Amino acid sequence: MSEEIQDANINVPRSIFASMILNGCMGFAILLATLFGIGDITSALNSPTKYPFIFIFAQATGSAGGGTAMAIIIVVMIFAATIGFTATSSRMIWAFARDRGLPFSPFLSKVAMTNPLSAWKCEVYQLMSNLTGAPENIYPNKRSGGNNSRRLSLCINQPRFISHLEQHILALDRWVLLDLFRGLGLPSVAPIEGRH
Amino acid sequence: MTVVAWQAAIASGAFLAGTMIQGLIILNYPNYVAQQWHGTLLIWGCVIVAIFVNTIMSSLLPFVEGGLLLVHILGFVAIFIILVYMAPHGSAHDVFTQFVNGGNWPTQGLSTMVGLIGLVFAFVGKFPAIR
Repeated sequence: MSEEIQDANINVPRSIFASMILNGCMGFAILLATLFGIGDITSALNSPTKYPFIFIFAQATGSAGGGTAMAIIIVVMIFAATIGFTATSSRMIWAFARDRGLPFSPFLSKVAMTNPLSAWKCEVYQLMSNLTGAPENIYPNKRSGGNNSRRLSLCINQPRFISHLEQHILALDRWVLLDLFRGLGLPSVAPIEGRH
Repeated sequence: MTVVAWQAAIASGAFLAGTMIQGLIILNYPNYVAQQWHGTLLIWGCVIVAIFVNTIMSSLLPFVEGGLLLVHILGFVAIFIILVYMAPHGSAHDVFTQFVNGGNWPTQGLSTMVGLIGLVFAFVGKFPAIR
């Protein structure tokens, strides 16, 4: 991914650190807010929704609708992360296929070089592996069985879903990168003109 | 390894989104009987939509992601304010000194280390940078 960003050896570490600091602060804030607002821990852990944070939101707002409205934000962000993951993963497959590292590499890399629909091929490849991997998603509860503290910590820790922010920063075009950092008043990561 | 790891990242992202949608359904429709395969179908749906966005709508991707960045910041503010203002407030003693070993691990330290594994997922986004 980095090869698409100008002056990557400076800008990439900068954006990583900026997003780490920003997301770390936001995540810690939301973590404390959630811990204070958690109410009854055991009922949150045993909530039928399987995600304690949904229960906490619903409890905080006092209605299922309010909790849903808050949780929708998180679902949208997670889904957006999936889109970003998909983009990164297909690039990864293409890059690796160029290096002859995958089965059917010549097909994948050649198509990817010449045909604008190349993304399709990568996605199909990826869909296949996803579908074959999906059945293990059916019983994740059994694997983490009884280990509710882990799931709670995982669910209430917002950095997890915040973390794809920096992935977006890296995956995005330059204008979004610039806009973001200008908007936040952070040190500019503007590429230095004339250097590559 | 990295290629495989990214495949897994898609699966886990879609898994979270899909099962959270199922969780919301459970919350809003008490009569709904949750089945594990419903979650799996929702996961597949998420993957398919993600692929759709990445292929057919790929020219719109920067705009979509830029808008999501906005949602991300504003969503944080919205959730934070609602939580702080409306949720029942626990005592600081409970928040900072109570430790839960819900997995029944032998020691609290082991429980902490096991719990860290889940949190490492938050750093998945660092990967492309290293690339």
